[in-house]
Amino acid sequence: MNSLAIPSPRGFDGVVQGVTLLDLIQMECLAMSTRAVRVEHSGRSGRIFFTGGQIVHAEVDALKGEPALFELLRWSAGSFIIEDGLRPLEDTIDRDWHTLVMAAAHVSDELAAANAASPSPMSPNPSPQPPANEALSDPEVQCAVRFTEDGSMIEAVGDIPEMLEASFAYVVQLLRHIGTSLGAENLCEIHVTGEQKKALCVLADGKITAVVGSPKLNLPALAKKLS
Amino acid sequence: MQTTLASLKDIPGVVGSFVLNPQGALVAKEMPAVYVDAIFPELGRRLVSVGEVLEQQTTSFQELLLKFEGSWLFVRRTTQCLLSVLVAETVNYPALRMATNVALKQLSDQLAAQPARAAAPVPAAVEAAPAPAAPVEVAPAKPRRMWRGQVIDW
Repeated sequence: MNSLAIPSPRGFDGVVQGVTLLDLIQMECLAMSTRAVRVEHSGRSGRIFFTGGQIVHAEVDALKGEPALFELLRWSAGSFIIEDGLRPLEDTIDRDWHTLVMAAAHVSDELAAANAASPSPMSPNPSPQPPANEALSDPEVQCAVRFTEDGSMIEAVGDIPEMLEASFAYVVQLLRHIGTSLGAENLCEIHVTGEQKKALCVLADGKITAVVGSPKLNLPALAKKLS
Repeated sequence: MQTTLASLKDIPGVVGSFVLNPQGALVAKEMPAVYVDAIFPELGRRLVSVGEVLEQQTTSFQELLLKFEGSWLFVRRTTQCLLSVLVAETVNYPALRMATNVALKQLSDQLAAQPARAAAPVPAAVEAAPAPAAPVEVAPAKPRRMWRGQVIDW
């Protein structure tokens, strides 16, 4: 770890270099910490609060809760101050830290992919990148995510792609078991037709693409493009 | 119900089919003998879980088409049952959909009729029994045995 640590009356000040904020969060959670970490970057600052090793609150600018946490995790560099004894006025996060860290890791991967695509410095609110796969630009597509079998997100369109990824990662495992029971191997596609939405999942080359769209979505045509 | 499932085999490429109740328990099947009954409890549980995940995160499904290499599983859901049809990938899909439309209609009628029959009183047996000393709930003449969610000994 290359972070610089200087003792202070309130704890430690540090500069985040070579260690990500995600690493720091994991360390605080594993240490069952009850305190706050103030994070500063380009004149902005935010706080993440831990209670008994769980993330219970985050705030930055007007954001609170998970949106604030994910916003802080978008910062590619910055400094932190550990504030012992500081407790939040309210608890706005109730998800287990493991789940949050998983989701945050996806955000981080997404960010890395966006950075790779654009050499410009990360801005706090990066403009959305057009999906690499043109099929996902279909106007009937509401949300889509492409991820590897081991859970690394490659590409995302729409809101809460982490949730979509988690859902389809689980569904794929369940359906593979069902296939095995019936002597059917190598799940290639899942077509879902519902009253309000349609969904499609295509598995190819070790990657899984899950798409949710309007009832007008042409599943066979989209599947062909994604295969 | 067996007749309804057997009729699906009129479509070339249909390997077999089975019906689960909304909880995932096997109600009826018309599958080759190699698919033993023991596989269906786990299969049903997993299929119900798939439905729950999709309902929570994406969309409540009415149709689910699973494309495996060489074979597909086509699942259609109603409030009363899940009809699953295992087919070869060469199946005529529009014909399969139409056949399952008809099958679902028949299955719905049959399943809707079942609870009414199961709940029907057994007047002869009740009348023949001696009057109870205190008012009690009217019970069937003999304990009912259930098999795959259905009463089998009445």
